[in-house]
Amino acid sequence: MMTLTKPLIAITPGDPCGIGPELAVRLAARPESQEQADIVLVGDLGVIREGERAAGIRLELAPVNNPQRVLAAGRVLHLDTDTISSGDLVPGRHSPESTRSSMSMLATAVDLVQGGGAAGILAMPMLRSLPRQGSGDTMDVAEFLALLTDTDRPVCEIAAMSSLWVTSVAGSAPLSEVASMLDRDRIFRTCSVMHEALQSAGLEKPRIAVTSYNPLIAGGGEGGREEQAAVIPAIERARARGMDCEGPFAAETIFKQALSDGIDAVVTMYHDQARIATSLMGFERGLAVYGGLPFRVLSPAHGPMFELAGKGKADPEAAIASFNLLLSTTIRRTPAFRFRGDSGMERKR
Amino acid sequence: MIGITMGDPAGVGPEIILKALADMNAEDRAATRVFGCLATLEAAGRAIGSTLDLAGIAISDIPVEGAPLPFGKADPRAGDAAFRFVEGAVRAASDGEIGCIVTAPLNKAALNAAGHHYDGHTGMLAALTGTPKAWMILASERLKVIHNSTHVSLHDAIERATTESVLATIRVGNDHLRRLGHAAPRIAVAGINPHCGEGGLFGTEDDTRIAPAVKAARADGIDVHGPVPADTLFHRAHAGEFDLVVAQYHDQGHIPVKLVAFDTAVNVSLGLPIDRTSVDHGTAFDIAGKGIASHLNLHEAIAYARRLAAGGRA
Repeated sequence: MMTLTKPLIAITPGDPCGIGPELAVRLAARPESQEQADIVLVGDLGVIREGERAAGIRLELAPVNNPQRVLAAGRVLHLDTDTISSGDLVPGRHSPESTRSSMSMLATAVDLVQGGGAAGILAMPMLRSLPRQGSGDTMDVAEFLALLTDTDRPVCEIAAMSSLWVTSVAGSAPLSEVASMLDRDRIFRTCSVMHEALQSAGLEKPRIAVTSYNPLIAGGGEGGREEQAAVIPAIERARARGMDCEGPFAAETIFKQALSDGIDAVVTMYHDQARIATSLMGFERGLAVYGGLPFRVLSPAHGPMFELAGKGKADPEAAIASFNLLLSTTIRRTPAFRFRGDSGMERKR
Repeated sequence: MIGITMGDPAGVGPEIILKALADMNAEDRAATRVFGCLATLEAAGRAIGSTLDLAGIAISDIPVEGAPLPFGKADPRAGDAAFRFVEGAVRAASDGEIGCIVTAPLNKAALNAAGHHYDGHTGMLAALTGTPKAWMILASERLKVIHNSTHVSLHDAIERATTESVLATIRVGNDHLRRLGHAAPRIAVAGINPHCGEGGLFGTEDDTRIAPAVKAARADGIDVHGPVPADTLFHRAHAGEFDLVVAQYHDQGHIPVKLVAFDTAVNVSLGLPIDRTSVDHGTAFDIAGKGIASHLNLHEAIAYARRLAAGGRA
């Protein structure tokens, strides 16, 4: 019997040739998952079957476009897509086709959520560098999600570790372009995205530390042009809006300090300033939260791990942690929309 | 013999030197000389309740005007004294009296207020020894990082990451690790851009500037790899895959070392005609004279200096 309080969570398989399909199936099949949420797998049936084969699990799928089927205990909803041919669906052998497939399936899930059909997305791992349509350029997953949702806020990939959340203002931009991207507004908005993400995870008054762009000698200093023109004014603005933001801090010492001083998050200026630290802090075993979107998207931080694909050896720990965090944040936000079994999506009152 | 400079007299330098001396065995103590101010050391001893008898220590007493100055305050007289301690130690090192200099922290504002316009010890030592360029290694037990540039704006750091400069940094780092006993050091060079630019999509410098430097160093017979994406490289090096990492800018090298070895990482200057190690913390004016400053980092800097002094120069 379906209870009306359970949120509907969309799970995408990520790169179909990675370990994502196996993880998606393992997650969907867990009794704990089904107890706490209604689950809709969004992806090609062939991809899900491949995940089932790898995991050694058979799911009972209820197609969402089939009016005869209703969600019942033990069943997992399935929103079918057609994104990859069976010839390209070879575990471990990723290709431009598998990357495009991972993007299409995520895009379908975003449509579903935007249409009110689900409370959030659990995105299984895909490549971190994705082709940008109509150009030879690439983008990261955060940029792709920003495009799909047409949001005017910065979409940030937040490394959500149990003791500290970390993101960066400039995403994956080349280092020489970062300075020109840093203005007061962008830094301020990244801080507010982080602030909001932490609040939705249950922290009422999160403490956020902001790093400097230029190297600061530990313990202080006025910094350079970018600190004076952008970082410091952004922090002042955030504080004026009631956020507990401090800085700029020397990046070399803030991570250690944050762990001992009860700081909840660090907002860095550029990619490696965040990622060098998070990598040493074990982020690869953790999970990523995409902040700045009108709904929740979470993902295990590890990549598609093509070398393990199809072997049934994928470790679901980070995926389960993502599921749990997504659940705790979506429940608090009381999803405004509910899926009503047999006739599509209906707004909940 | 090693020489320890006292650093800014108003900072934690005097007290951590007293604590380090108190911890030494007689043999090590006999092989240590302090370049500082006796009146300040005595005042620090009283402030922290040290029982160390300074009569048994080799001290090159360099007077400080108004000593003892109050702890915890930036003072041009202290800044000037910090400079003169280093000057004295450099002279002794150049004359072969000491094999390595260990520096306690100085305060840049006080130094500059005294008319000594350096960005810190490294620039000062380069000027005092007439050396055009010096490098910094931040060294911990499991992670050692040499920096292509340090205290410059990030903009300047990117500009300084030229093929010639990175190649020189690889060579200097390789030579240093060989001195420390690595017959064929395994070196990795960190990329500048996220994911090393991924073929130019996230920036071109890694392909156009860093990769040629690595290639040239390999042609020299150096076991060097890269550019390697910085976000995962330090984790790999820390796990034992590489003996040394070449970082392209200050924060790239300092973030990982400070994270894994906050209290123990030693700052070592390379490329100078004399050897120098240093603590990697500041003057900590807020706790100076209170006896709570830890001398663990100075202890590590001294141990590293003794290794270098014992090994002689390559």
